[in-house]
Amino acid sequence: MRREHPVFRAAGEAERVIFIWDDAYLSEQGWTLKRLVFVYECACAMGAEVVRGDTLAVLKGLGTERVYVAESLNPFVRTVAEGLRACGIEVTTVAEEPFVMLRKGGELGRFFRYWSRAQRSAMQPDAGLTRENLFGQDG
Amino acid sequence: MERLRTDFASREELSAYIRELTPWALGEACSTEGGRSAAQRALARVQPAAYARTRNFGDGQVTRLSAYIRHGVVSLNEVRNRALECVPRAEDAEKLIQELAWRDYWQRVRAEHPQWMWSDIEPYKTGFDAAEYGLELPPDIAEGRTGVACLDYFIGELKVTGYLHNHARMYLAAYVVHFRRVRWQAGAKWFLEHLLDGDLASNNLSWQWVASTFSNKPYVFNLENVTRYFGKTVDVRPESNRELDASYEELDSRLFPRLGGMRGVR
Repeated sequence: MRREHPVFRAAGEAERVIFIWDDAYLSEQGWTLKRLVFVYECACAMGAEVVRGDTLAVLKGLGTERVYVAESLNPFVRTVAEGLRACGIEVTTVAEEPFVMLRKGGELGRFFRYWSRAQRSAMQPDAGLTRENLFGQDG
Repeated sequence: MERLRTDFASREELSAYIRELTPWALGEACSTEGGRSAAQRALARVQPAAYARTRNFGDGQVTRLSAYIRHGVVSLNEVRNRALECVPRAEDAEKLIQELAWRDYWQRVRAEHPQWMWSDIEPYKTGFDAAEYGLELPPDIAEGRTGVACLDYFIGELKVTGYLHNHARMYLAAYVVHFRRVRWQAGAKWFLEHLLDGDLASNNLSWQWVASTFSNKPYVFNLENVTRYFGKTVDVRPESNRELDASYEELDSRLFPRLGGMRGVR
């Protein structure tokens, strides 16, 4: 939830920034008021339009041909993206700036195995990547 | 499609508006401010060397960036870059960067094994089966009236501020799972409701680590440990914290009687 996220770079200047306040999704999370206020404040601070409704219905109702979404492990985001694609709306998922580039090494394992593959990259600015690679080829 | 307000004269006004939008939500707003400017102010206060020296202590120089990182208001990359900028040698920022790496690691574990988020990765290594643990969080824990003064203080902090020092999180998790023999899932869900930085991967996998379903032995603590790290700020008098006032040997035989004192070497 920041305008510096690579998703905005990918979407370009003509983007309309929308944060969807989906009551059904939020109440399912069981978040207390303090967390809801914090999240809402983040949305306002990034200059997003805040729209209330079912996430898929809101996005379909925009009448847009393409939606850009920040990559997420949340299965809800994947479900919504599938729903949009099923209606012929193109969905572009854009990853966060990488924190590390892991050296090759098979399974992740416990933390210190991961760290032995991550440390070198983690200890360099931008994970040792050029700005171009940091933001991906579409950036 | 209903467009909601985004202009508020004050945080109080915003909080009142959200309360109206979400009549089902419990509790009150807290003082941690959302948004990029607030995150950048916290980022500017980061002191990697002091963090490395003091982060384990209740009054240590922790960054308080976790809620912003969790909600993508700052990236791990930005925090790492900032940490490297403000130290003479990269090694001075290594402890902080390693803690950032823990978050990256938990996310990768979730990506590889999404099914691990709510199910036991391995059996408990406590001498008890999962079926012997309670399913629900006992009300006295949820309400912060366990009768153990330091834990009641931490529970109050969690509920009011939506934040807890990492050590306090581990203490509460160990108390729920091992002292009260409640399944880690009940505690993990409770934390996710309250923590502004509550993240499914970091939170649930850390609970599994404490429970021993994602580690080789259960994590426990005693009053001596709390006193060392929180003695200046929290009531750690033995008479207010009787349940915790024991040696590790005593706790092992009380909490894990079937292991015969073999929980592992600390």
